[in-house]
Amino acid sequence: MTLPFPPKPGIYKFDHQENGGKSRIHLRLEEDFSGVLVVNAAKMIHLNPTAGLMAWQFLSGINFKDVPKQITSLFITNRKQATLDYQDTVSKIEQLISDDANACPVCDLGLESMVPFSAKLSAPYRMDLALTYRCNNNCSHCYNARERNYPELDTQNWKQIIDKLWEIGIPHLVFTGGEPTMRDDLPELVRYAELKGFVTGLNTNGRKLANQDFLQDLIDAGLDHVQITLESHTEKIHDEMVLAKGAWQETVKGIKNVVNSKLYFMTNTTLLKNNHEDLPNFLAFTHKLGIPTVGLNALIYSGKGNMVDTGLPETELPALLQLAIDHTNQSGQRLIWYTPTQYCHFDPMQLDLGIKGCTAAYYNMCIEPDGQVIPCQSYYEKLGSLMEDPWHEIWNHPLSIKLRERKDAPQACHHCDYFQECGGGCPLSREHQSVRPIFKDLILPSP
Amino acid sequence: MNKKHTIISLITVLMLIILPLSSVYAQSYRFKVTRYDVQAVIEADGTLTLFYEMDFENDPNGHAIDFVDLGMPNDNYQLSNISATINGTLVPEINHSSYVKGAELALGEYQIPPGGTGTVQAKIVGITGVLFPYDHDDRENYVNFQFMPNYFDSDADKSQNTDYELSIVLPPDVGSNEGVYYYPDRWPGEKDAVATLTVEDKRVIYEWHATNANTHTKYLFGVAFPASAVPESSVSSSKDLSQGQIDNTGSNSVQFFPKLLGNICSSMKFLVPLGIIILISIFSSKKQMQETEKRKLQYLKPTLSVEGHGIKRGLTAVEAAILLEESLDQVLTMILFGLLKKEAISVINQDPLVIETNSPLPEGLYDYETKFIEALGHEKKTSQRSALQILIVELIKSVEQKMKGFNAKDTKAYYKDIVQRAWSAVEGANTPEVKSAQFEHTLEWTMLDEDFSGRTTRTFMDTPVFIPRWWWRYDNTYRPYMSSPVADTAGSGNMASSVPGLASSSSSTSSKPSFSLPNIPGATFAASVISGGANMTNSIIGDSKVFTSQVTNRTNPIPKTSSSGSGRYTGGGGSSCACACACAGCACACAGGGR
Repeated sequence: MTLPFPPKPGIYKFDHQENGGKSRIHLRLEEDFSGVLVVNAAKMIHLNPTAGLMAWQFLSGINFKDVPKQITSLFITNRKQATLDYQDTVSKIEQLISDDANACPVCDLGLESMVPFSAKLSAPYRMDLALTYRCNNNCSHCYNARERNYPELDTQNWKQIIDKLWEIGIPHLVFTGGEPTMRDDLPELVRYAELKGFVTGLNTNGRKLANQDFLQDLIDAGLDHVQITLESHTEKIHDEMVLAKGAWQETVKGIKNVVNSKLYFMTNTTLLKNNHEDLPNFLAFTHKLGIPTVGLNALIYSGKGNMVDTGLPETELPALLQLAIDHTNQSGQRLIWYTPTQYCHFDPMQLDLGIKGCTAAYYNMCIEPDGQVIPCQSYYEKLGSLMEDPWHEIWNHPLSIKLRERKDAPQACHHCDYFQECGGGCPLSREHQSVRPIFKDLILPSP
Repeated sequence: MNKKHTIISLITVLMLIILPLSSVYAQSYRFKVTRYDVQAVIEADGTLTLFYEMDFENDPNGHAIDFVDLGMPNDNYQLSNISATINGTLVPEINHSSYVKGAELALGEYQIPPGGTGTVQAKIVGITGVLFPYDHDDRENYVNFQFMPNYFDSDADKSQNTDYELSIVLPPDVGSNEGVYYYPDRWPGEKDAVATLTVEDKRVIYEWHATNANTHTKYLFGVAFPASAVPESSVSSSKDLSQGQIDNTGSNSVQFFPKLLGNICSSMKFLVPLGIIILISIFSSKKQMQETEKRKLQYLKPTLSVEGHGIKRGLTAVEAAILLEESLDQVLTMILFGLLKKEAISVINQDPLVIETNSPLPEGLYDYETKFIEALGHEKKTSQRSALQILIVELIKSVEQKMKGFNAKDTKAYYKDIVQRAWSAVEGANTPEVKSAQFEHTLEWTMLDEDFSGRTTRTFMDTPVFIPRWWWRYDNTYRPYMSSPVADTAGSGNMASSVPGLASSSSSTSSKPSFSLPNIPGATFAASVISGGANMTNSIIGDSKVFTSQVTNRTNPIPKTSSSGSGRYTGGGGSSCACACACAGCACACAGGGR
């Protein structure tokens, strides 16, 4: 089959199979052929125009003899140079998408290292689809700021949304809420998105996954990953926090079902005054359940989270996280810390937790049940309707730009050494900080 | 006012540019210019300097703005005289354009994407051949300068209300009443220029400003001024013009180039008589270009990049020294001084180095510090050397591990900046005592400065270095009298008590008790730290080149020894990886959290 050339801007999906394993590859090409190569919705490699075209040629299986001809038809170069560069680029891509890719992209493969949060994107990597704000829990700290009976799009509208998101070039969807399993059409939407080419995930309280048949429907639909919220290892605390009696039993059963499936799985837990003191026992419980990856985050200051007053100050987080690191290291579990903090109070880098900055309206965004786009699933400011407004207006909405460029960070932060990585922490939590940012640039590190 | 309504026939045209005006542009270019600032400066030598600042707003459905061509009136310019930025970043490449007579700014990775905005700034200096005789009888010995800023093909340029400002700066020797300007043609704003003087050198400047202009209309501006203001050689002769004389309407109102424009319209295909034209490539001029054919893109070496972890902060000065590939004897010297500062050891003998460990050891020693003490605890020098090699190997590997995922280049720059900040803190101190205290506090950082000795000497040129309290542990000739402790009025607790026989100064004020602080000249202090420290460590490790070689043989990957034989090595992050996906992969982050 002859592919149209030159390739049009947009997203291309490829499945890469090797050693019995399978990688999900997405290539987002811009008009100038620059792009992003996304491996398993997790590894992002930025490509300049030349590399973007070559990646497309390689992944599309363009005949090698046609490669230099195509390159020289678009770029001012000679075929010899084009061939040499193509071979080098392909060699790197092969290793990047390899199933057992352990090579360091920078020192082994010669990739360039970019400053964090410096990539210029035309759309996020991931879109969260808040299918509904209904929920069978009623968490006291829930960030949801909408009414539970908020208007919802029907199945066909959501499919149109999914189509539109593919056109925009977003490779990864996460179904969330509210509680997305409250929607009967969830498996149908997962299937539709998977067939379209998306990597799909589900964020849930897990109660409905206690029903093995329902879980199997989702697996059959092609769902890739699941995250279940578990607030405590004790039934009492969990149910008190989610304000739903019997919830813990169902959630734990759901966890057990998922653990026994082939889904990529993790839990998530909000560290609050209610539950942080028993963290060691909680972690031991997750290990006992066979949970491979444990996610922790701090209170999100949105919705009820604004009023619940159970959030922990950032200054208390390092000790808790160190404890969690020690436990998960010992148990062989993976720990993921989510929350963007102000690094002057809690620097996740110092604990090797990775860079955590706000990625709202940048790496990820969210669509509300009525089709309105918001910066992230906790930031309830409408940027526009996905179906009615041009994408570029949503992406370049003043609020999107403000968040992406961290323009709203405290003035002091802009002069801080850590600003590029930290970005001033979570915009939603700034107003609730009991301590103010510290000017790191005024401090010389201890010798 | 300098305002002059032109009643002048324009009989000269600065330049003729032959442009095959098929003006076919790549089909999908579509944009607006929201702000457009142009300044033309006629220099004292008759050359022209141009400044451009253009704010582009690219249409979401338009082609990326990838090239900017700077059309030139003649060949009297040099690429090296052109500098340009896109959004404040230097334009990657400037070449001769294949499409217009002039230069080409290749925006490369900084191109303005569809739906994006961008600011292009350009500066061109040293353009010659832009002045022509003022060939009319109302003034003698004047020269003309006419200028048509760049304009864009209206098919691509959708500008409507461009904030447009154009200014022309006359040569320095033109008096405030000597210059004249022409009414600009087609200009939608006030045709009278605002005449002011430049702040610095009081040069006459004419400015036109409109907020309802656009960048596809061919506005034409011009000035005239006494020829004496520029060298005669800078003024081209009338015969250089291929276009004939142009009649004046005789009107005393604005009839700027009426005939000329008529000519343009009638001979649109090949002649555009104007001063300077700046062309943006998005209306490429290649005559036979097909509507559907896009311009070939500049070929850039394919690059793949990942977002790394950025700068690795929190390294100690010793670890930073490893990262910065300081010589190993320097690293060991830094460890030695770190331990002295912490009062963990005392030097009993300098050559060969013999130390005495204080008991109990202070808390919080770094691993490499503990191992340093252990190494020097061996009796045999070969054992000491071997232990120090192990220490260094482990230190290098530790730094490599810490640098994993971080940007080595940016991190190195960060620590070099810290060195400079440390010096600034020292140099900015208000009093000699504070200066010395700050110097002591940041000693390991300032030691990383290649010019440590020189800078110490200069910084303490007029004031001595008050030796730190621990200094006697390094050089026991400075051992303090212990029988008469002196109150620490500064509260820092850092300074030693007085040492007899040494020059001293006082930090006293009338309201504070006075006491003497031992001090030595800055140069002496620096030499003592660097040379003395190096001598001591070298007394253990022997030939630093051999020592380094033995270390590098054990690090992985095997670093290269420097050809200079200075004892430097490569390692500790010089090739550190930035392999981690910074956060994108974990960007599932907030999803689902907080419920």
